[in-house]
Amino acid sequence: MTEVRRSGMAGGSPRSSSPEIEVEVLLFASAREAAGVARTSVILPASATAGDLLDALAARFPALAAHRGSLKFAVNSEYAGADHPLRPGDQVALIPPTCGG
Amino acid sequence: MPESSPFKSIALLDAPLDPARAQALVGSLAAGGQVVFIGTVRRENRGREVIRLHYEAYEPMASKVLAKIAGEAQTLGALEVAVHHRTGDLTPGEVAVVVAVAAEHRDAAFAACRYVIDQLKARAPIWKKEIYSDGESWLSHTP
Repeated sequence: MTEVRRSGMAGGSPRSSSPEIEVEVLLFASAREAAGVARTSVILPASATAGDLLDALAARFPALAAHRGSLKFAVNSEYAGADHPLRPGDQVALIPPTCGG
Repeated sequence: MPESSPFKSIALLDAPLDPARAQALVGSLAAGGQVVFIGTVRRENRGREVIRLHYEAYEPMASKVLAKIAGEAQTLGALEVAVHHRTGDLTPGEVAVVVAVAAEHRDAAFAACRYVIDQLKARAPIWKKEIYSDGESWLSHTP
């Protein structure tokens, strides 16, 4: 099930048309269980970073907030930091602490 | 003279793993030694009885990361590497992961095999949940 939500923007409808981007989000393991969804889409300001995306997700899924300190990001299947700038159509995965093997 | 490309076999399977298959895949005639690590499900962890383990992977990133790790092992002296990992539900005794390495000599074979399983735990987007009779818990690797 995919849902699309716009991240909160203060001040009601913007007067200027600030560009926005839409990214796909995949949630795994404990992050998926906390949020209750395996995938979703988020619309963000064009200058958004992975960290901004997590802010938006934590606002939408409060149970995710407790996991913030331990989540890593992957953007298009490559690990990325919180300051990684997002682009339209990026696939961002929330990566809880791994435990293969 | 053409160089042979180093052989790697990476697989995530939602079906029983056969360690002999991974070993057979790293049978280079240039290798003097093979090391095969087999990771299995224990029936108890931290004092709790484990009913089953559930493994989840982020594909295709998991395959990409495992291939990268295998490539690094080859830089360390491994000639051929196979990494086969389960997804889905496993019961105690089942094989969760096989890492098979062939190298010219045993030092590199042991070191490379150890390297691959250690890096897999730290970097591969794979997760393990333990299911007990009275609850469940996502585990975290210890470096």
